[in-house]
Amino acid sequence: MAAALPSAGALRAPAPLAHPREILGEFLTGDDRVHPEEPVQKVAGVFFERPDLDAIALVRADRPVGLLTRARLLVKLARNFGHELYARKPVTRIADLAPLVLAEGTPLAEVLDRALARPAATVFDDVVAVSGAGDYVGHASVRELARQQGFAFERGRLEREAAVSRTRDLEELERVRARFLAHATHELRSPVNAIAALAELIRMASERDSLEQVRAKVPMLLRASAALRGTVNNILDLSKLEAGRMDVSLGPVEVAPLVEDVASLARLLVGSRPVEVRADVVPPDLVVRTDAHKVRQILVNLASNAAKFTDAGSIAIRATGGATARLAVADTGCGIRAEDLPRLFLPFGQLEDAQTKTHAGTGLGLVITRSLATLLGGRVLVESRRGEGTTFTVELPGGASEAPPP
Amino acid sequence: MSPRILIVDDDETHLTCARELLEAEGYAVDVHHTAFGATERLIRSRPDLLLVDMNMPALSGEGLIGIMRKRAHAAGVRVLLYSSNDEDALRKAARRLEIDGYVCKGDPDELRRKVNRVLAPPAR
Repeated sequence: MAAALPSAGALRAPAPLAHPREILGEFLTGDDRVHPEEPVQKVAGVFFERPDLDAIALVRADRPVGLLTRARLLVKLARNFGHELYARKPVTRIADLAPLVLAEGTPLAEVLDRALARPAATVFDDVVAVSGAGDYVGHASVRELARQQGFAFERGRLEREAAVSRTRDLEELERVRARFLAHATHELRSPVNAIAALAELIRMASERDSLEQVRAKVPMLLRASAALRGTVNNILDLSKLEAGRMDVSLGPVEVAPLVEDVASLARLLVGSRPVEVRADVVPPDLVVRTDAHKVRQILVNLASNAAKFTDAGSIAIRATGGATARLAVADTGCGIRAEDLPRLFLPFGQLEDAQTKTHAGTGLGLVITRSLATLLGGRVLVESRRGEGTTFTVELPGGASEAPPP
Repeated sequence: MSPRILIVDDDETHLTCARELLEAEGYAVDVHHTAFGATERLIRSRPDLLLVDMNMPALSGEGLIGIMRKRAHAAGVRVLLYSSNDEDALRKAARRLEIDGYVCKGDPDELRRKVNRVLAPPAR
């Protein structure tokens, strides 16, 4: 029936439901379809000819089997060898073969809930609508649905506000992603550029046989490489965490040597500044069942933050046992203003503006720290007073009970 | 007398690199580590070219150029943005600020070429 109709406008047939204006079938943006075996270059041609087209469904025998969005097509073709790899291949090779497919009678609110629950990378992808019999009917733009929901809920102000704030969340998400990209780009390029320029200077110096000038460049080269390595590792870790690909291997972890190790690192980072670094583990033989590598990474992140922001005073790394193990890093550094706390765990949320920031660093450490803690079944708490210092506490399950095992 | 260049950048490594690369081209190079006092430095140093980093503490390169542009322009000082930011962003910022252009950090040849070009225009 509807699937055979030529345009989205014609699809607005009366739906057999009590609230005909608030179901998916009413808000389709198109019913564009291609056969799954169609070659990518032909589908690309369709997109190029129709600049308004956001998505196209892959349909076999009236059943939707996939979705290709313009953004996904462009990303696939634009990447290295994209054309060579995909142009002649069937469109299934690059399409999303598990798009969100919902019955055309699904209420708008539910459609949006399902659409927005998807991972960030696909949250804007169109929703595919099917008839009661499962036949392809059309596709709907999520942005448009969110907007429509705002209109549809004229009756209830609260609902309307919720819908509007959802659209805002979407926009905010897009802004955050754009900002993330801009920061990531700069943080990756800056050390790479330094390395390139230093290499050129070293080349020039070695042509002049000036060993002294070559030597002068080496420490800078090492610093830039270390910075680059740190950022690359952070970005890769974060991608792994976001993709749910970070493995956890639990085992008994002796906390004291770990804390002592991190304390030594913090002392190294503090250098000649008058900052005392203390390590304190209670009980001293505390053993926690967790992932040693991840806990170490968490503590290193927190301790290097403390070292970065503390000019004088102390950094205390404490661990206590119990049903919940607590690892805390307390510093007497510059502290964080109450209004800045919510931004603390945003990627690149380093509280200064990127264009004007004072402290080096990628602004990814705390995001990774929190994700790692979550992965271990724990959480990160922060207490801070501007000018007095900051304490980060990581609570982890698997703390040994006080009583020694029988 | 060789043309004089003033570089404003908070990053010590980038500052050193740019200075040495341009000194090797025969320019006299002054460096300044922060946006603070940069205007004063501009007046004292009387450069022919101002090379300004985009990301700096407290006041961004864009903000700084916004403040100094009139004075620089009046004194016939050429201005280039010099940054690790995205090239698109740099191009747009340079156009918005109506300055002589931008240089992407990390390509010593581009730095030499663009600096040589703005400092030796065929005809003013």
